[in-house]
This record gives sequence, C-alpha cells and structure tokens, in this order.
Amino acid sequence: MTSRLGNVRKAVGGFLDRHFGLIILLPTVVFILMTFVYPVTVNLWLSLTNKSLLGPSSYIGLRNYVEIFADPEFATAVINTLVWTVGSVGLQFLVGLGFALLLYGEFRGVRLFRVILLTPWTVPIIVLALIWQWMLGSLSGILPYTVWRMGLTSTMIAPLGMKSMVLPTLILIDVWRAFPLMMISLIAGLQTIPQEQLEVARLEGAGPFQTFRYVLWPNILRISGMLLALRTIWTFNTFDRLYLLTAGGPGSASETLPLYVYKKVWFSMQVGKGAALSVIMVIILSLLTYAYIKRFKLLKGEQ
Amino acid sequence: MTRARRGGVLLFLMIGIAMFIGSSVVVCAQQQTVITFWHSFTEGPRKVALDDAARLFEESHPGVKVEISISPWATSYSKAFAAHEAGDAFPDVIAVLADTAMLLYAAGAVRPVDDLVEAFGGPSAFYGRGLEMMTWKGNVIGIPLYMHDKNLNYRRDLLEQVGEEPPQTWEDWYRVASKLHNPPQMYGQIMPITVLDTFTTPQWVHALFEENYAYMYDEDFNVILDQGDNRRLVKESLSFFLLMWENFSKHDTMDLGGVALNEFFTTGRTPMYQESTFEPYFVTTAGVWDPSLLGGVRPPQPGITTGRHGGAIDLIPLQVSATTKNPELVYEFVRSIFSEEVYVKFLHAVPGGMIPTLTSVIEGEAFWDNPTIQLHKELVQASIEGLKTSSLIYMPFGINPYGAAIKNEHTMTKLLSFVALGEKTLDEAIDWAAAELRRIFANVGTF
Repeated sequence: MTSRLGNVRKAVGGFLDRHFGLIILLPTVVFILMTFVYPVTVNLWLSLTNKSLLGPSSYIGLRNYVEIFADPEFATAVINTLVWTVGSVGLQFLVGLGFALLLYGEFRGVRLFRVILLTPWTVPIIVLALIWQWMLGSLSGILPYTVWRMGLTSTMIAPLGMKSMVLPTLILIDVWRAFPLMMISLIAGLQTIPQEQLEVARLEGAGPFQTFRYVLWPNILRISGMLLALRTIWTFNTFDRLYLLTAGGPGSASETLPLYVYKKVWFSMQVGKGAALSVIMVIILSLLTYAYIKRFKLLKGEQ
Repeated sequence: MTRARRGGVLLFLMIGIAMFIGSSVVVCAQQQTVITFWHSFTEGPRKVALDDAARLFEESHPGVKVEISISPWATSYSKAFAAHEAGDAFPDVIAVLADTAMLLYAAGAVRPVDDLVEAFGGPSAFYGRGLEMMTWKGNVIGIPLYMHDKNLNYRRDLLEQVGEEPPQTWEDWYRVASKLHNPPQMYGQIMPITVLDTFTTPQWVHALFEENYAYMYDEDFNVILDQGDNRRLVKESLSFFLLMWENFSKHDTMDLGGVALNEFFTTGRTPMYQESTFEPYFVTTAGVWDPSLLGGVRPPQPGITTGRHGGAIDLIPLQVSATTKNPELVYEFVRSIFSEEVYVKFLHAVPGGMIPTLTSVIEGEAFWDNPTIQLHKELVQASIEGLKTSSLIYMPFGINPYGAAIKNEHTMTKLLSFVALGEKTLDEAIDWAAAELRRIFANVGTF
C-alpha cells in the first residue's frame, strides 16, 4: 500500500517536473483561447452565414463579402473612415508635436500649461458629446451664434447638421480631445534626449529647424511611430463619439465603418454581414499596422 | 522541480478550487426569487413611479426581489437583442416600443400572453384597439401599458396674430407656415429628418401616408411603394414633406434627435409641431411660453374632402420573457403595475402624455383628476379620438415584423435625406427605397 502510494506520488511528481512550463502556461493559453481565438473563429464562421437577429442561419459562402463590396454605402463608409482617420490622427500628431516642442523644456509655469492642455483628454466621451452638441447646436449653440453675430454667416449654422462641414468638424473635435495624449507622450520622448546632443548642435551653430531635423526628430521617431500606429487603430475603430454626435449623419456624410457595422447588425439585423465587415476591418487595420511597423521599424531591437 | 515548488503549484490550484466552490456556496446561500424588469423611462417621475411599483410588489411578496435596469429608448432595442442572443440574460419583463416588441416576438425572445389577458378579465378590459394592435396572427404579444396618437400642436397666440385657424388641410398648413416664417427668429415649420431615434421622422411620414391613402406595402405584405397609382400618392406625400422642409425648415437640423427638434417648438422658434400628448409636459418643462397657449388638432389632410384623419400611434407594451422561470409570479408583477394605485400614479408622471389602455381607467375619474390633464383636455381627447382611426407607425394593417424592420432601418428617413441633400431625385429615391423594402422583406423572411 505504502509503496503503491509512493509510486503514485513519484508519477505525479515526474509529470509535474516534465510539464511544469506547460502547466503554468495553461491558464494563459485557456484565457487566450476563450477571449480571442474562440470569438474570432465564431466571427469568421458567422461571416460565411446569413445569420439574422430573427432566426436560424445557413452557410452562404462568400456572398456577404460580395454584397458588401457591391454596396455603395460601404464605399462611402470606407472613404469617410479614411478621411476621418488620416485627418484626425495627422492633425492630432502635428498639434501634439507643436505643443510638445513648446513645452518640453523646463521654464516657469510649464507644468501648469501641461496640466491645462491635458484636460480635454480626461473629459468622458458622453460629456464631450453633450458639450460639443451644446456649443455647436442649431438652436442656441454659442459658436454658430458668435459666427452669425460677427456677420460671417447670414444665419446660425450648425456644422454637425451640414453635409459639407460635418466630417471636418468631427475631426477638429477629435483633435481637440486627443492631441494632449500625443503631446504628453512626445514630451516624454523629447525629455530623454541627452543634453550633450543638444549642446553639440548649438555649438555647431544649428538653427531650430536643423536641431529638430537632425537631433530631435531621430530621437522621437520610434515613439512617434508607436503613437501614430496606436492612434490610427483607435481612431479607425471610433464609434462612441461619432454615434453620440451625429450617428453618421446628415444622411451618411459622417458614417464610418464602425457605424456601418453597427447599423448592419442592429438596424438591418444582418449579423452575418456585420461579421464579414468586421473581418474586412481587421484586414485593413492589419495592413495599416504592418505599414507603420515597417516605416518606423517598431519591432527592431535598436534604433 | 523541487518538492517545495511542486507543493506550491498544488497549493495554488487547491486554493483556486476552494475559492470557486466557496463563492458558489455564497451565491446559493443568497439566492432568492428575482424578477428582472427592463424599461426605458429614464426621466424622474416615471422612473420613480415604477420604482415604487417594484417596492410595493416586494413588500407584498416576501422573498421576491424586483431588479430594475434602465436604458434609453435609443439603446433598448440593441440591449434587448444582445441579451436574447446571449442566452439567459433576457429580463423577465421588458417595456419596449411596439416595433421592438414585434421583432422580439418574431425572434422568439418573448412569449404570447393571451393567458395574462384573461387574468385581466379578458379583452374587454382593454380600451379601444390597444389589444388588437398588440395581436399578431391571433396571439397577444404584449400587454399595452400606454399609447398615444400624434396631434399637430400649435401656438394659439401666433396663429391668432396672423388671423389663422388651426390647419385642417395641407394647404392650410403650408399657408400658416408661410405667414409665420421669419428666420432666424421663427421657422414656419421645422420638419424632422433624423436617424438619431427610430420614431420622430417615421411618425411624420406615417401620418402623411395615412392621410393620403399611400402605402409602402399591402395587406399581403407585398411592397407597393413604387407601384401604379400608389406611387403617385406616395410621391405626393413625400413631396409635401420636402416642400415644407425646403421652404420653412432649418436645414442644418438634419439628424438632430427628436427632443432637440421639439425644442424649436417649446422654445418658440417654430409655431407648430407634430407630437404626442407629451407636448404639454415638454412645454411646461421648457418654461419659455405659457402652456395654456398650446393647442392641438388631428394631423392635416391633403384636401378637406378626403375625410381621413389617420395619424401615427405609439404603443408601449410590457412583454414577458419566453424563458422566464417564474411565469405566474411575473404575470402577477405585470398585473400589479396596472393596479389603480400604481398605474394612475405612473400615468400622472407625465400628465396626459400617456393614454391609459384599461377601459376602467380611461372611463374612471382618477386619470382625469389632474390639473395638467384638465388644462389640456382638448389635446388628450383629440389623441384618444385619433386612436380610433390611426395605426401603429409603418404598420397600417396591424402589427407585423416587416413594418417594424422598415422603421428600424430608417429606410424612409434615408429616402428623405437623399432628396434633401440633393443626392437623388425623388423618383430615384422612391425606386431605391422600394428595392430596400424588398430586401428587408426577404431578410425578415416568412412568419
């Protein structure tokens, strides 16, 4: 009896010895299977079915994809998404970089400036939507009112309700909210530059542009790449503020891919088509991320 | 591996298992009968009335807990369907818009409640066509909680200023709007083109269609929007909408929400607005002009000779989950909401805004015994009168999943926005919408 118990203990001990690495990895593997592999696989399968919110589904091959690419609304959503993403991320970066260059040094009051400029990033999305709806409102918005009173328009014009102005306005709102993240991250990058490099540039007689071109930019290139890649993914996938501010309108003037997916799944009840759209979005984002990684050498070990 | 490390791993696993079992025991020990109730009455008085109803039910049913979850109308639909798709997350009782109610029934999320109707005393307990409007293929799919019909509300003082009576015909409506149009102080008629909610634009379009005998589909659910003489009537109705939009509306209001659009009326920037009997509540809350100046008539007709005063009805039912574990208790809870103590208090939360669905309440005194309802009795009576001839939005032949899906997809609103934004001619937009309707009908399938 004692020897049998000893054998069992030895066998269990041997098993644990041989597979210890696997055992401690197992929870993580299970977690990834449950939260990533399973949903992605189910989504892929759904994209090949005519699954509706109302009932059972059947396999339809690639028909969802064919119909999506033939839909003019999809083309509009893709163009809007690209304009929104490139416009918003590009401006966020330029404005963030501008403020970072102004505020990365140490001078009196600089910390107060940084905190004040960081405020928009801390505003909850629902509050942001309400603030801007109020400020840009058709009835009593302070900005349309000011522009009208200044004689620049013949009446109060709410840009969120105008086809030609809605997307630029949404981009500016997003820049207002998100440039502080760019700014603070770039300030952190700029502050890691050794003072000796800046001193040498000064002694060599480099002007501000040359200092930026040959000293500052190379040092913040990778953090810029990382920021641009992350912000592109986040901005591309934006749903909340666009839905709250315009729901894609007027018409479909501000309808981006996430809103288009939402409408396909919930309003049109076409879950299968929504799943196919998600797959397309993942492919577009993967290509964009790969381009950033190549351009900014984000996965290389050294600069 | 050392013995100590091995022991550590085993100990870690054992602690994990013990915690799991322990938490399950705690959950079991805390178990009580729970009724989950989802609604969208986010504003104070109605929410408070239903909170009180839940508390009263808990007091009279020891061991029962009513858990209430509130989400705005705009998200209640997706939340309900997400819960249904998730499996067992759907609430025992849910209050939704009529079209959502139909789609939830079609999806199998809720059960028929004919037996609950009997518990109320049979169909005669319900006023007018309320129960009929909740009946699909012989089954009652929800107990109507309240309903309302849309009137064309107006400012008495403004109409008097220009020597006009409340509009009876489209021609009257156009003339009054024309006389009062003075932007940016006053817009003759704000017309809503918005996808931010599912009811604002549809209720206007539906009324224009109803008054002109124009249809999107026939009684056998064939799309006829673009067919024969009906196409002409459809075009007339939509042309009138777009004429008013073009001449008297503020064009940057497209895709504002219904509440924001109604603000033009409540703050005195448009003289008329088609809305339910919630308008006295909105006007009083805004506090910009004297609520006694508020008048209301049935939506104008295309010509005085048509004899039709069809309008758009909103009806909010209470539905019961198809998988509820305690149907009898849940039925009891639903009935408790209709007890006079609870129900009249709920209705008075927005006085006159919600027309009762029980005959005993509408014919009794308690509902009418309210100063706001007395002040706006004319409006409330007009809405009750309208319930006889109007129909559910986009469902002129009774509740059905096709009309619900059209409303949900904003097809007619998109049609209007295409023309208003100059992206399509009206004929092109009608052809587009007809093709969309056929796709929707195919997508919904056969029930």
